[in-house]
Amino acid sequence: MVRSHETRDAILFLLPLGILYMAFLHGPIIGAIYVSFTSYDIITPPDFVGLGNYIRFFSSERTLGIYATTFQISAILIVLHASIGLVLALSVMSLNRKYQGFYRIVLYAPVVITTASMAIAWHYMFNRDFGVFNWALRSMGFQPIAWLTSSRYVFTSISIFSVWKFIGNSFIYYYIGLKSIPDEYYEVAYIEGAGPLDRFRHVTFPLLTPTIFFVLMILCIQTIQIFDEPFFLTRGGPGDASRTVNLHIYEVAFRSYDMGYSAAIAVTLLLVLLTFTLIQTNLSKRWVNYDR
Amino acid sequence: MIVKRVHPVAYVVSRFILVFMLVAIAIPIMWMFATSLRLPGQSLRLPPSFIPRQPFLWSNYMRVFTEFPFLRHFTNSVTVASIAVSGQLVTSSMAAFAIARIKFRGANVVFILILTGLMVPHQVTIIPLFIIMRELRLIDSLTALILPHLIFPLAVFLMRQFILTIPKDYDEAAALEGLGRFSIFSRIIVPMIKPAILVSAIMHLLLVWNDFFRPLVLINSLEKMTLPLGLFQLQGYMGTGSLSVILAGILVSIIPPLLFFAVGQKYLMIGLESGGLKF
Amino acid sequence: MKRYRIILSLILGVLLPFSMFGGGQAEDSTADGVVELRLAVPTDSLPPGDLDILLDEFHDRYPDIRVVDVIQITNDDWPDYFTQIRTLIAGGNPPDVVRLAIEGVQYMVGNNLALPLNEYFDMYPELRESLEDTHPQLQGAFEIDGNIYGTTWDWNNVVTHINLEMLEAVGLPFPEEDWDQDTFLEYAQALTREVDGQQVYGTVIPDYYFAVNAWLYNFDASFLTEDLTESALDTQEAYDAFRFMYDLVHTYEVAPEPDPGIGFIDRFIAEQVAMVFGGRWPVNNWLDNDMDFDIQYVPSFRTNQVIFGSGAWPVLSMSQNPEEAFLLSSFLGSEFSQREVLSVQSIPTRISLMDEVLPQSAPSNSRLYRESADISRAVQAPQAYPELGEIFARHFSAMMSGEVSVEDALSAMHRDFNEALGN
Repeated sequence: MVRSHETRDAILFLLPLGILYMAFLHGPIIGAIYVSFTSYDIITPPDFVGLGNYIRFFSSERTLGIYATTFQISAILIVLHASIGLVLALSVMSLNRKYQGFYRIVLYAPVVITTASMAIAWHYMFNRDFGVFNWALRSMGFQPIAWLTSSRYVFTSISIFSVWKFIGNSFIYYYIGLKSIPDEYYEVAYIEGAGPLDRFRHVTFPLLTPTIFFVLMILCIQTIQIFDEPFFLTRGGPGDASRTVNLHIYEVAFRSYDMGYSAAIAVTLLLVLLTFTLIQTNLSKRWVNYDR
Repeated sequence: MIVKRVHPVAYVVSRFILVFMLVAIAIPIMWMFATSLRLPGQSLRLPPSFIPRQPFLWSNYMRVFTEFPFLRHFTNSVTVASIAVSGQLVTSSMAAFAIARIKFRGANVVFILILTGLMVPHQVTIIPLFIIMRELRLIDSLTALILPHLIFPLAVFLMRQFILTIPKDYDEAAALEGLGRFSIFSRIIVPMIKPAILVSAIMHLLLVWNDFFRPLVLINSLEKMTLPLGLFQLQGYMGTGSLSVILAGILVSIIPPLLFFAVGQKYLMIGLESGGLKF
Repeated sequence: MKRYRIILSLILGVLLPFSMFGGGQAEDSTADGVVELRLAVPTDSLPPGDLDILLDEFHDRYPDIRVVDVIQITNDDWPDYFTQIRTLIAGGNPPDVVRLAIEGVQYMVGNNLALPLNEYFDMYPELRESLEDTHPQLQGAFEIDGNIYGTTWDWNNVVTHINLEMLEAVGLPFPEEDWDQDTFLEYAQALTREVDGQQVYGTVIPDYYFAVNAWLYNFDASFLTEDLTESALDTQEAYDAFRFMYDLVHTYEVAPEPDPGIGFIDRFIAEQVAMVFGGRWPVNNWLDNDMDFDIQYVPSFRTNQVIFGSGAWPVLSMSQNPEEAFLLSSFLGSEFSQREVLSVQSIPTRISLMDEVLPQSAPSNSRLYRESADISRAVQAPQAYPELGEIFARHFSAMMSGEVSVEDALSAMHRDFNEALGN
């Protein structure tokens, strides 16, 4: 290997990606940070306002409330996805090969369908008066539920839709994680007389921790960012009950044309996500087993 | 292979859960299909249909294509997705190769920088992106959709992991035979990371195909829209009393991603399982 | 070195095809002496064939002008439409002429987006003459501070649409013009029943700005003060209006809870509700579905003050071909256009046409459309209308879903309105 060519080669191989990243990722991030310090309505040139947008952000009950709502929804979704996904993966693992393949497809299929399209359909399904769900409830003698127009139920509706649509994701990650646990471990445990519960506690779970960590991290990042679900199901309503941060960023930017404020909210979100990821990564050292 | 004896309760419970999921996934689709064949004026009437009943209004499907540039949206999506994914595969594989194989200072920093792309929501970059596209006079063009999608950090991650599992002996043997760096890349490494490439291609394809938000902001005219955005417009076009037509449109629009998935899922599974992915 | 040339050519090869996909940016809008114009309309504003009829005629009359691009904008409501127009402008690719309703005039004018057309009317006196035929009240919406911004084309009000079959089924006569709140409630209660296992409601509550404004007027209240500078929601009458709407849904249970995705048109067609509130625009939908209906004034809760909203085709101030755009704008508002195309879409603004056409068209009470023009009052849409619309929608949904009490939601709306208006 000719060493002096290393750096040059590296640069050339990385160049296309680098240009693209600069232009469409890191560049815009810096751009967003810049805009967040201005007041910009996209038609007239921007006015520098320093920390004005951020001060407004932190003193705005409404925006802070929207953050709280987002965290609440995210927490619920993370718990649901992480647990149900695991249950499904364990269940599928106990089937024979043929059925495993079948269920893999069935469970992952909703994930690949366009979220926007399905959310439009589900919006009608959740409708209080002619929706499918309430028709079923009424047929069974129950009272209809205001799925999308009552703050008591919006979280439930969004969760139901989210699980239906995306459970395949956590399922598949768990499934792969489970599959990669070598049988020898189970054999040894079985020989040593360990029952199914013990096997799970001492073999499956510890070896699954890297997967669980990965799933939790991905879920955290993804659920905080949801846009399509609240946009199509409720438009953020009723009131602000289901308004997530991303929805708000979009509305402030492209409904009120307050680009600066929107950018401030967006940059803050980015920092929040980075922080969460860092915290999670650091904590992971404590409970995740990487050695095999 | 060890025989895993499963506790009878666990057996029953897990079967029940799986069947429940199966039914839960199927019912909304059945409802959509059955309702899409109803008379538009009737589509909101109760009781809802789960099984198509006479008359079978296939004309609803025709209307989606005749009263609406649906086919155009489809081809737009195809164009954007195919160009974006092919471009991305090239740049990602080159970058993954550089990070995994070439020893240079800052390799880890670069890798982390690339990964940060995973957690940046579209909403954060959309305003500057909009401004960039405006300056480049690319607003309302397919190019504006393609360019940002040439980035897919997950692909770099997957490919790097995969390359790391390939013993360096191959590289060295090739070098001894006089192959230069790029040839090693293109003729040795790339063929060997096919699973990672396939997985990346499929995941990215689905991501680009299903993207709603960027087209929402960057595209104005009906002819330039991609399928998800077009579907949203369909709701406005038919928004008055034609749920069945909207559902017909939705069903047609989800066929391509399902097809991609059906075709590619085998490779997806092979790729994911062949051990190239270690969390 | 050969390797690197391969890489470079790969990069170029990937980027080169992009030049094919350039955006629709208008560099030079004149080609061979023919002026090219771009027009923006809301998606469902005209049946597709109708716009073609108009454009064909326009191209015949003015062979040197061509409308090369018609941008259809799908929108939830007027504020959504305006902000999309704004995005078009921000995107560097503005249309020349846009369809605009009164709700957007102040907004566009205040932001210097609309072009005053007085000098062009001077250049074409025959077009100024034709303005005379438009109803002064309706045309007035597009004349601000002495500047004329367009030739009004259509207008709409809010009346009650009633399903006649259902009236017959419960044995009620058609309501009088001056029916009051109690009578209305009686009707709503009688009409709320179960039919073939499906719940039918007597009425809907208005759930969009225009219709709520109409109800407020009939309650002798309003969103804003007369000069549109302050919120007027702190009155007893305003409270009464919203309280009544809330009661219709939750106390008397004669109206379904409003749902952002499903409008009254869907419900009326699905025969889920007997009475709805809209102008002339839903009539096409009823006719398409063979419905047996008629219209009556909105109940005189306290008074009868009909609302109106008119529309025109203003020219954007940044148009590169203002004169030609003006000609298009005037043509689209002309008698020809109104006569050809406004069959049952909305109400023509030309007095002569109204007198001629309305008595002959469905439904039987169409004369109401003509009569109400004289007593009508404009919907309240100041420059901050897009924001007001959003504030209204937000608090209204909270109020009607029972999240927040009517009182609290209303005072929050009042407060936010004032903030948006700069008070």
